Amino acid sequence: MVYRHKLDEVLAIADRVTVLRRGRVTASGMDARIATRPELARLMVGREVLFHLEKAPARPGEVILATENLCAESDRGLPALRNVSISVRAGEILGIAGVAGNGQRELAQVITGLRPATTGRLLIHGADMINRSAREVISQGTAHIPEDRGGMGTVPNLSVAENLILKSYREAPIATGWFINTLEVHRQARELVDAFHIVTPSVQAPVRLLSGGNLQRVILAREITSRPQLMVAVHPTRGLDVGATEGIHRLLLEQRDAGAAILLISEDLDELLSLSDRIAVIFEGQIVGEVATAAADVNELGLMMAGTARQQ
Amino acid sequence: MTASIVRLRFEPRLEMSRWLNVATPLIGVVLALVVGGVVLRFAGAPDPLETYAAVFEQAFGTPVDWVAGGRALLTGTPCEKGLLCFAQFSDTLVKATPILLAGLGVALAFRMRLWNIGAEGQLFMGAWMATGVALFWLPRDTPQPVMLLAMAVAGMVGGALWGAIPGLLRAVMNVNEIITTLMLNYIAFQWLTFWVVAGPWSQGGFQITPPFPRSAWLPRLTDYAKEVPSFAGLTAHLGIVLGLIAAIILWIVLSRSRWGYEIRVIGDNPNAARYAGMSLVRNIVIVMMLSGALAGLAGMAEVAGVVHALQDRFSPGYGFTAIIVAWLAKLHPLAVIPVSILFGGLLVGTKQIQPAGIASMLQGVILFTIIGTDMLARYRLRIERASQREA
Repeated sequence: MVYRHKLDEVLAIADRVTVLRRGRVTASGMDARIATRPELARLMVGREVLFHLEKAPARPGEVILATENLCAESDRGLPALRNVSISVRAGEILGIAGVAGNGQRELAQVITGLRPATTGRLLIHGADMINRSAREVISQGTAHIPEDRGGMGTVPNLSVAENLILKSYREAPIATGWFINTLEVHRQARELVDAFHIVTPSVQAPVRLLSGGNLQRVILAREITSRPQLMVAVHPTRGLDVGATEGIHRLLLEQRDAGAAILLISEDLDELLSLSDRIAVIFEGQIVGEVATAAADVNELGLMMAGTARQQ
Repeated sequence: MTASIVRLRFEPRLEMSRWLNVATPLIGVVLALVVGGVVLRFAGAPDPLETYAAVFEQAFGTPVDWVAGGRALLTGTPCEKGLLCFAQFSDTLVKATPILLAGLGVALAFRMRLWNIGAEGQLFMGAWMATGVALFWLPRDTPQPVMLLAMAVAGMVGGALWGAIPGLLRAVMNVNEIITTLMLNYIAFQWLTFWVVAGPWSQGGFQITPPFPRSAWLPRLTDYAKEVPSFAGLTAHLGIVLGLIAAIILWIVLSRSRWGYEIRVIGDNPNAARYAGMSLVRNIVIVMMLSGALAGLAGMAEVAGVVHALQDRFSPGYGFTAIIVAWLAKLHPLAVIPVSILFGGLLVGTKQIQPAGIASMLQGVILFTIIGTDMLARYRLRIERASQREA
């Protein structure tokens, strides 16, 4: 028996497929040779899942994020970023493709103020944000969907409502002077739980009881309500089922269309190809190539991710 | 051939019910009493249950005493002859006062997973500072409110500075605060000994300072015996009120304030706190200082409310009892109130019992059973019987 979220894997490995949704078997013993992706997705999610996202053409505005020759070290003190220069405009998604461990984590952390850069420049909306604190980066209008949902993005034993104010607890209307307006916290939480379809026993339930997809929705709800100019999303759908993945993709595109600049770091080429307007490839801490998604070739991207393009 | 293998496995519980949250400390205490009963039996007590009943009576009084006390209070008469009225409970409150204040400090630090084992030392430094104010740094005829306020502030500053040392070391250089707070206890004790035992503050070579002026005494119930005759002889002092106020303030700050929210986030997931732009360094130092300040206030309350002087051995380990109390109260400031009264009662009730270590023994056993039952509340014990066929 194998348990999988990824439909293609299931169809490639399995002979027969059983689908479980919210504890119920919705289909059992289907022949994997005749099962189709949309059909399985519908059984898993309970509604039609669109595999091809309707994506309006990008209308890029001014440059929101720009890095020049950014360098940083890993936790072990080894060079993790080498002269990374990228830029993201308002209303576009720049995808960063790469095999995990090639500097993606460090790139996201340097931009969000969680890791010092050794050299280079970092501009967010024209302001020099190199080696500023995470708090300053947040108040500059930067949202961050971290790669580790449970380990960084949420506070496990605090309630859903309390997790939703993690970035907004300092300002009105959540804060009133030195205190937190609990009524407002709960009102806003109920609103967000409805708007983002977060499945939770209540807004007072500890967030660790939520599934990965719902945890991610809590994070997205929180980050999006701050109306960010820049959004750094790291592996936003890793480990999620097709339904949750689709929902999160939609939200990211909505943000793009609303004018946010989005830096999407992912290992999933399908995700990068369906969301990004441009894709840059990172290998051993260097940007080894950048292509417009429309002109992107999967094989070429794959080769660049494996580092072969450097020899050219 | 088949062999049945029984395997024990701990599985984390998904949801910890409120009921379990209250029940586990109670079960822990009951278990501790059972274990303690066995020890008592071996120590020569004919009937451990009888011993416990006697301890309880010594600590909280009998119903007859309470009725008599209530009647005396209502009618404005002194307590009837031969009855103790609230005397035992008043003694229990006296012992509970430093435990409550220090316990709140420990609970605050533990909330942020700062394992402050140094409440005892912080309490010593608070007592030392308060003594300095009472005897040497303010004139003896300072009005009582000014004197007491100055002593309280000094006590809190003393404890806060003693807490700031491990706080800064932890925040800036990541030095383990368990070791530093523990070691600073010994330094504080030596410091106290230096000043009091044949030192500059010693009274003619005795191991005690000169007595405090009356203005440096925290008001006791017995001081109001003229107005309320039944208060005669009751030594419960203003410190317990300070403790109750501190508990309520701490509860409100932790559950309702922006800063309390930061403390709860940092305590539960420091990574998320960093991600949200909270300053860990600043909050570690602040929490260690506040934790120390509460223990320092406990020290001030003890010297100003009970001893009325500074002695080298004025604390029977209040700062260590505070750790057990904070844990038993599940780090909830309001729960620290009843638990510290219970432990105050344990100290008072076992005073007459031989051998003398019974209170410490029970405290230790309670800590063990609490940690054990807490584990059972958080994890489910699975017993698996797997039949395995051997080749």
